[in-house]
Amino acid sequence: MDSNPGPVSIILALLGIGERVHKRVYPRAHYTVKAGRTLAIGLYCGVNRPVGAKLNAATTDFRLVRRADWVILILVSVLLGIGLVGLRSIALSGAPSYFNRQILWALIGLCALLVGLIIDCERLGRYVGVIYGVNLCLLLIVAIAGNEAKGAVRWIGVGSFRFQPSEFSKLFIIVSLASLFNRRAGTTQHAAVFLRSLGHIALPVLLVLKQPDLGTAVSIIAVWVGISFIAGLPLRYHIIFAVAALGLFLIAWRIGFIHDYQIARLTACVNPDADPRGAGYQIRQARIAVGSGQLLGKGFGRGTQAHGRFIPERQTDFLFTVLAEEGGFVLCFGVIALYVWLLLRGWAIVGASREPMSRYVATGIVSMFSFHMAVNIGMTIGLLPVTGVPLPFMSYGGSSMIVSLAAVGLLVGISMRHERLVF
Amino acid sequence: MAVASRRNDPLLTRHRVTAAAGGLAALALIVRVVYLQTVRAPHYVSLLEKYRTGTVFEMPIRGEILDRNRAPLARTRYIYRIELDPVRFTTLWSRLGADAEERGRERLARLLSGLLGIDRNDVLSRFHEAPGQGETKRQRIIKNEATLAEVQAIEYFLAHRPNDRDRSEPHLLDGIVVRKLSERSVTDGDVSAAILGRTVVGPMGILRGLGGIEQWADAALAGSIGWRSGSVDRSRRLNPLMPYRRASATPGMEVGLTLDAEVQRICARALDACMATHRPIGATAIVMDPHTGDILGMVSRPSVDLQSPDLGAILAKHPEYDRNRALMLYEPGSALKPITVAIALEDGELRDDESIPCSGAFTPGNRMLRCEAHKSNTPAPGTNTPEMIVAKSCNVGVARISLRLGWARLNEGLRNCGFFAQTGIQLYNDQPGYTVVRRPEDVPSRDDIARIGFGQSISISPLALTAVYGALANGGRLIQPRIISYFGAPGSPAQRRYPVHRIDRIFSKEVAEEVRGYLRAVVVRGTGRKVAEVPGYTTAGKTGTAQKVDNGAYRGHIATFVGFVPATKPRAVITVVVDEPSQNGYHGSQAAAPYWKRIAEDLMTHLHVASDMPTTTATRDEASHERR
Repeated sequence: MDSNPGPVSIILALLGIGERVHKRVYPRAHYTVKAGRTLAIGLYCGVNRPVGAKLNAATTDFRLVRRADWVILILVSVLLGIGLVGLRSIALSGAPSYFNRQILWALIGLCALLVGLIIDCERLGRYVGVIYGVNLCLLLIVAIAGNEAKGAVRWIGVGSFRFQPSEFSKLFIIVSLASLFNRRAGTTQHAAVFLRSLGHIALPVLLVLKQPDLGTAVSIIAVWVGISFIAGLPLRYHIIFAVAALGLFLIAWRIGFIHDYQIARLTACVNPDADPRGAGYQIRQARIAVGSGQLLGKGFGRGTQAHGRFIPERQTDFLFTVLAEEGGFVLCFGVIALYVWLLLRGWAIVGASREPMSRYVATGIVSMFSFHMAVNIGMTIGLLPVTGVPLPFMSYGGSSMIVSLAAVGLLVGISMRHERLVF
Repeated sequence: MAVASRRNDPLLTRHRVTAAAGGLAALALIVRVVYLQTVRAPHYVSLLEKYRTGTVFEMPIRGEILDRNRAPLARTRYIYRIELDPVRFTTLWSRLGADAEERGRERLARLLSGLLGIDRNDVLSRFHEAPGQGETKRQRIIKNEATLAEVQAIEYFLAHRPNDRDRSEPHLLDGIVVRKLSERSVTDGDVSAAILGRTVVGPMGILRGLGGIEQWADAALAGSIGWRSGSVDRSRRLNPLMPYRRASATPGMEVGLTLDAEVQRICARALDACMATHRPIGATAIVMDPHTGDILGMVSRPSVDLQSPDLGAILAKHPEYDRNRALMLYEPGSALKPITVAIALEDGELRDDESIPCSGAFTPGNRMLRCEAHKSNTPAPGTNTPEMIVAKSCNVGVARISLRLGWARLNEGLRNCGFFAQTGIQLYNDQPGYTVVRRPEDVPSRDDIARIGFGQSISISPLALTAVYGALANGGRLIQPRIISYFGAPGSPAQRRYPVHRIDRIFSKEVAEEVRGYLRAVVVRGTGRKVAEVPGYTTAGKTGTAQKVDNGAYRGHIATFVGFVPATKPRAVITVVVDEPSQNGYHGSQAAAPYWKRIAEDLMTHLHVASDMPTTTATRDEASHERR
């Protein structure tokens, strides 16, 4: 049986997805496609030799591509799509720029994802010094000459665009921290490793805190906890760290390093009705939005809270409230379930990784996503205090989107290189 | 999975523990979402219904009032007023501290001065001032008549935050309100003020009529308020994306009057001259078409310009300035005599050729009354005919006629003339007249009957008098005076018309003609001689000079002249009543007739009435009367 394949089937075949099935169902088409693809890639690599050499490893070796975790890619696409639907709904109420620009960010992010796919984590260890240096430089530039918005200095302006180095710094720290633990593999019981790794993140965290960007700072710490936990750092160090962090926080509070409004935000989470126009405003409005969404939601473009401009930052950190209001519990559950599925796939990659470096990078990425997802959704539904943490793949924002998709690229790249030693 | 072979690996335990912790976290999220969206959902839905729905009202434009030639007498235009709500501003900004509030004020003032071209310090001072006139506690007028461009600029900034950078601050313009108001303007100043009435801003900013046509036709003029009800955004404006219910505003209907703006001006000019010469406390003039009852002119003096900026203060000081004197009851005096005579003629009690004796004084009951006309020269026997009684205004003659009629027939005749009912004009304050005989079972004294006959002890409105003179002019039919001829939506057929309403025939054609002759005689050789002649036209009318009774004491006079022109084929009944003329004579022939004449002259020119008496003939005619 050899019927003509449909366009979807051909596209999948060109991407190297489902090749075995393709070969069985359309034997003749399979070889045509394969020949054409090889020819195209071969031509391109012939023209551009240095790129060709790198691409060769990832794309011309179809066994690698086949082993890539494309479920993650599909989950990410679906989440990204849901996020775009939310932004499209906001666009209806007179803020179309978010939706349009987010599409641009998603396309740039797709390139970042491909770059992430091509990069082999194992080789990144060599450049760790450069990565760490670049990270510090960017954060220092922000500290010295950053752009201010909404009361914080977090951005570097490039032409008419602004990018947020603290977002990129998360990914840089994941890689450099993973490399650090990789080099110290087997000696993680030593206090030196504990202190060394803490010292590694201390400077970036302080620079990020100074912006101030509490959410990113805590997410860097979450990455450290995740990697060090999986790297086998003894639990007592984690407990010491927790106690020390609490102590530092109390001291910082006493000496006034932490602003009153930050404390007010923390307490507002517990009782938003105490100050419904001030600190509790956003939380209250978000709860009203989520709660009034009920089971099935109000329908696309019908969210009164979202469209009445009652929720500040509805396009970025509080996009989930828009979805909850318009999509109801059904969409909320769907989004959370998709994230959980995505994170479980990621966690499976961590478990399947044989190489420590890859495992630590994957751990860092999954920790980052988990932290962002839990904290962001938690704060929008009033479980956690409000900190500026975006929802990966969904919240509006170029830096966040590019970093998230690049991280997905790295993760999927790790998944397809699991069994390299077998060859 | 590949990890299966590392069953005892401690790292595997950590891997699983972490996954389980993540699972628990996810579960917590789900539980929380379920709690919010099911258990707590009714609470949040009710909050939304309570605070997030609003109604926006759309004000109808008030209808125009047009004169009989469709020239507007009163019209409406929209003005945009920019207001500041200092309470709202303070509520929003006070939580940021006094310094921030002060800075916010400064910035708002700077923005507004840029947008509206006003002084910055004016805006700042408005925050601290007490509410001025027409302002409430939450309302300070920043600019009264903003242009459309200015309104658009304000609305742009209302929709887009001017202080976008700092989200912790409230919207700078939150507290600025653009109010669309309709402003009523009257085209002829103070001329028609008493008839048109005022408008005041009623509930929800809609204009409501107060007095005059504005009040009488308020329901038609006002139109109906439109509204849209639905979910609102943070600035409490309706969210166009959400479903809403609505009803459009219906613009007010236009009201067509029978008035003629030019006749109004003619009357006003004459009365102003009268006010200047005789310094009365008030005066009124009415011009009516005797065949249709259309009021062509109705002016009261003194009056007030409704556009005057300190209208309120003026009216507080002189509350009578917006009163329509054409409807205020007064004792008409001798102007009623022709009607008493007509009633007696109609009844058959009086013949047109009989003579009533007069000796200059007469005592019907207890009180003696004097005849002003015959106090020195009593008429020769047989010459005091009804014509002469009316022409010379003989009190004794009319008193005797009244007594011959008796109370029942006199009262019945006056009632038929409509003096004891409302005239039926479309104005409030249209009061029925009355006599000193208040209850039907009362029997008046002979003194009272005699006095009522010549217009004392009876109160009627100048308009009622005009209507009955109209009946004399048109051949005996009493026609209800009307001032509104139709209501209707602009540009569409009238929704309600007020056709000519002939109430009743009150005098036979012959009697009306006869009395018309008497009234002509008044002008030709009676009390109205030389003062009420209009070159080129025959005129007929009657003077009246009544003493005002105030708590039993006489106080001043009211001068009246009422008549029609041309006498042969009346086109208009004109009434002039002057209340308490204090200089240059108080008699009807002195204080009222000359101004009646001015009105009649100008009116004949304005209406292009064909002359019915060449000037030369008139002279000869008069001369012949003189000889007689």
